[in-house]
Amino acid sequence: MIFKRDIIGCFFLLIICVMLSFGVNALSPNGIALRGQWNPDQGVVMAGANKPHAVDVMQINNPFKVKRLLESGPAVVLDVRRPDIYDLGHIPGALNFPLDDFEEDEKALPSKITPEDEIIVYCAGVTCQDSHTFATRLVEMGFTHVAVYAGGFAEWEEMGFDVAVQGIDP
Amino acid sequence: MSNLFRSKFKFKNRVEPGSMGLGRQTSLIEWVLRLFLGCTFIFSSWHKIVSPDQFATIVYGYDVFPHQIINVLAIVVPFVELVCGISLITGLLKRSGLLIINAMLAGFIFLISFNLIRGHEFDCGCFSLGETKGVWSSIWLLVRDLVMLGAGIYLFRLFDKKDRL
Repeated sequence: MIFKRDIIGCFFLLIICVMLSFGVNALSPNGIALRGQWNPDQGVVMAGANKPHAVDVMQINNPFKVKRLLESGPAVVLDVRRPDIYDLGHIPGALNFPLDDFEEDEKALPSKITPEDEIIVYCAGVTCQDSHTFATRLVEMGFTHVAVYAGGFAEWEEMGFDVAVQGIDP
Repeated sequence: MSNLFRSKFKFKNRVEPGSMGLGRQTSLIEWVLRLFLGCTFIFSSWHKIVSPDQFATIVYGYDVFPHQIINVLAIVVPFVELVCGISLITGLLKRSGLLIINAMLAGFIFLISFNLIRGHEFDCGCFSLGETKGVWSSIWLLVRDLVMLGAGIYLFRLFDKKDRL
């Protein structure tokens, strides 16, 4: 049987939870914003930090723009997914620099790209935030022309664009 | 009249053979269930508190909640799990803590069933972030939550029984 005191106790506990959670979130370095970006049409979906970022990375939401940049210019495309997933299929010409191995990537990156290069970073899709994390680190390392392809590989494949498999570019 | 009163009095105070053992057994079951549910909720809250951004993405993946409240849910829900787990183990407002835990379990069961019925794959984010998706994984989750809800309801009835004594 549920008594009135149980219901009052529930409210009391919930008030403690709300105060504690917002307090910890405000002070924690991992805290998130009260409202996130959850509209896939506007780019990568993410909770967002509770403090404004020092680095704001540009996003490309148009797959045709990425294709155009790849075909026409000297843009370097970086795939930050795991190597086994990269081998199954990736954007042609994309270099694999998994976010999980960033320490190793950091050493190898200067031999593959220069700070002047136009760099496009992508991962699985709009729900994947690894491309953002990787791009932010690149900007912090001194690379200036860095953008994230928000739709990622899922959108690229969906658009029916060419896909390279196991390092063999079409 | 006095005989009736005496018989009633005797009945209330009579210690049945073996009832002490039964009471102890009930207490043991109560403790085991309190520890099981409390620890499960505390344990499952931890990774969500440490990585609220990833938990928010998981909440988004359920594809049920309005976008405006996803972050608030990702901030508050783990602490509800933590506080209610602690309340259940320590015994402070344990009935209320258990009520909230049961309500949450009912909510999780509803969410999992809803996504299973409409064929929407999702990552539950229950004990670790990035658990495998799939129908069988969802069914397993559903069974797990149903068992825990059963344990929660039984525990609440035990609390009731104890309060009546």
